[in-house]
Amino acid sequence: MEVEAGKAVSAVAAARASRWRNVRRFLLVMGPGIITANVDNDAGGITTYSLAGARYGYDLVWTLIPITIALVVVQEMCARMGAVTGKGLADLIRENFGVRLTFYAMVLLLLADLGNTVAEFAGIAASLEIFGVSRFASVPLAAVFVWWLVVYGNYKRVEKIFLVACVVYLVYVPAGILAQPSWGSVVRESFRPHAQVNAAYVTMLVGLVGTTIAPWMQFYQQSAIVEKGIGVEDYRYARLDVTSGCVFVSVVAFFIIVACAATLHVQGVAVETAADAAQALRPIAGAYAATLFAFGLFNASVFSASVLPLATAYSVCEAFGWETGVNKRLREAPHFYGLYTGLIALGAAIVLVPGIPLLPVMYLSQVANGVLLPLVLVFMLLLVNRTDLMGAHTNSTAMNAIAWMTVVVMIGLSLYLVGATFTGAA
Amino acid sequence: MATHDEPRFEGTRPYFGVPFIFYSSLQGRLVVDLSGRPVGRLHDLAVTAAETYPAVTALVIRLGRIESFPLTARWRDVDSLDGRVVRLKVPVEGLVPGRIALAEQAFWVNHVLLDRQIVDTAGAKVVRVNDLHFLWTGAGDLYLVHVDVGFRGLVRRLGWSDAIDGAVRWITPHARYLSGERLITWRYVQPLTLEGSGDALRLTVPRKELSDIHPAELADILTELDGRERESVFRALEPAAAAEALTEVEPKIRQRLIASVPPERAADILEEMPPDEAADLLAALPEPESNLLLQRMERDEAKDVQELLQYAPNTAGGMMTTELIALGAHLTAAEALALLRSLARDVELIYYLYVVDPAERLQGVMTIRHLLLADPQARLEDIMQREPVGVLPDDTRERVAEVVEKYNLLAVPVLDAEQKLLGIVTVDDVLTHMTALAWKWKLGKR
Repeated sequence: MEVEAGKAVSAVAAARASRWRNVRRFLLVMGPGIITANVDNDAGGITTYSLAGARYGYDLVWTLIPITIALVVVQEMCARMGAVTGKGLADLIRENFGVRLTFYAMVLLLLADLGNTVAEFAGIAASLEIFGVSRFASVPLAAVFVWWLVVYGNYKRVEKIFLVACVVYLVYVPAGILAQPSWGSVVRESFRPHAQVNAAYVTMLVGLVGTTIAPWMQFYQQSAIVEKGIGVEDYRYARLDVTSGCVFVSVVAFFIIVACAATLHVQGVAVETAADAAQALRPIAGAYAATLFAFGLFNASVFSASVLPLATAYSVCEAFGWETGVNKRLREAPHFYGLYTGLIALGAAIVLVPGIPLLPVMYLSQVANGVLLPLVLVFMLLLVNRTDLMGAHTNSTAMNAIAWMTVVVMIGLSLYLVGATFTGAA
Repeated sequence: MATHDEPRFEGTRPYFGVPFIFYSSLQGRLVVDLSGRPVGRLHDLAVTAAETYPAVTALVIRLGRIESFPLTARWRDVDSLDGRVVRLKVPVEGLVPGRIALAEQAFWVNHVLLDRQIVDTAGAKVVRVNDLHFLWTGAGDLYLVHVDVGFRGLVRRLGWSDAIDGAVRWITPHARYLSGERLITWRYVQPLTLEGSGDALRLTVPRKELSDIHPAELADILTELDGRERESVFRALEPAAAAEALTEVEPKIRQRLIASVPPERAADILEEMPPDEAADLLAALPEPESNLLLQRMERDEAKDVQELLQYAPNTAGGMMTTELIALGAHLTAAEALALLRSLARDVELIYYLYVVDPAERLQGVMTIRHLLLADPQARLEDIMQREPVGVLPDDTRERVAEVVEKYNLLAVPVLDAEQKLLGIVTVDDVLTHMTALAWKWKLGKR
């Protein structure tokens, strides 16, 4: 009996030890998925969610569920490809689809991301103007800060700072609660898929999907997995990282929509930007909600302004075989630093030009995103199903069904968005 | 100027009278058969790496825009490359449907080289191939001589070279861009693309030059490569080169690499490493694996490593190596020199000679200089410096660094409480640690 009891105790201890080991491994692997997903809630994302809430109330909340599923499916494939092949997505595309397609894809990525970077700096300017800081101070300072952070920080430290920035997104949760929504109707609307058939509504819907699933994310996600050295043996932790990141992002998006729906939509306040939304919240939901909202926007913009140009520089250099890496000297990796610095400098400069119409820049970037996304998704699906690359880790039939469905819907929506942008309906 | 009877080659430039041809100008070229009937477009080339410069042995012709009906032609059936067409000596019926299976050492260039990463073994860098450069001999043979990794190659592949060249020439006629091809001679190219999948991964063309790269540079290359390619390059190395490269890469990559080779080979590599490095590596592996590797190692080497494994890695014991030269006090200088000559090959640091008694207690120390300058008949106990400085196995790294710095040593002996000589810590291991500390302190980097 004594011996038996001893065995049982040691089995419990072993189970506990292995559980701790699992937690520890997850903490080591965690990062790429959560960070990528959060950068996704950038200035553009927060604006879109705010507008969706302000204009349509709780009407669009239900879309977050299918959007999250699609996001998880897409990002999981990238993480898996990164872990199995040890190569970035741009690498794989260049090696398997040739130089021409890669080149044009990279031109689109550059255009799209330049537009996104401009949006981030616009977000920085707008959010700090709420606190009374001039954009001519905030934008150059922020540009120098993000540049310095990446050039003089190593991946480990930068990742920790980014993870802290992710936590700051939680400010939207109290902002949403302070807005005192009617929770009954929020829950009812969340699980009731319905749509209006008019151009403005569909455009809003496309905007929501487009801002959540953007092409740069797939490139960044996969590169970050590779950079972190996550292999097949750690893959299940990486999958958990990706999934929890995507869910977290949708929760934040949910509270942004709810905050704006419960206040601005109910009161019928018309807003055009996220900064408008923050200002408009003040008289309705109180100073705290407005401050939290503005601070969240600032955090998101700074965070994304450093990751987006970095992700772009990595992808482009990977595709063309130029040296990459923040641990290289300027002379060793001139293309990499050139692209990174150029994107930040140009992005910040465009925002500072007095009276510049930002809308055309955003539209151009939206079109580039729209054209690029279906292309990237199709590339990904072709690659992820190749046994010579993926071995036993190709997609299952069910996974392929969901993925192709996502692709078809995304292509449809993207085509609509591109068309709408050209005809001026958007 | 070219004479009139010389054939014209599109996309070539005569160089010392021999025409070179870029793959970008060959790929997609119309292929016509004996009777001049169009067959399709050139899609891929097979080369054999058996010779110094790989000779083209076959070409794949693609019929439509989609590669559904490829045909293979042997290169010796090619008649000419004049103009913009590839002319065959045989009728279309003489071609093989599909792609042919290739012999050992032969490969398809699209699959192994084009757009892929390679190692430039002369520059010790990982680069991406933008174009290939062939030599077309008068006898009708085509040899792969260079790979192009330059920006111009990229522009050429995109099909914009005429426009861009024209624009650049118009702006600055003598721009470096126009003459600056970045070509790497085939001799210095290590392809990395692998054949097969699962466990059967291997380099298509393992090259000897890889082992000639300096271990520090080889370590940089290994760090830069992606997972699978890194492992296959590592597997292609000789155990000695692999051991040297392993000591230079970061610990995390080190563990993965050693785990990627079969235990027998891993044990061979560990034997080639200095015992202290081998012990560090084994200490970081899970216990079952490190035990397995210790069992596979030669008994002597395994024993040295095992002794080192019992000390914590950040102590003098964990940093020390058991490779040193210990001599008896009764030897003469001449005898000691003769012994040194026979021992020197296998020992990392031979500048210090440690004089021990039969119980291996340290009596004194001397340098090679002392030995060389001494009277050949003098006994070591008369030449040596008595009461040598030493550290205890449990002393911290910082303490070891202090002693090395204070007494200006190249190595410091590690002694137990009874003065028994356990090993030495060499200055390079102290430096590795101290510079890492200094960097961390200065830049906040790893």
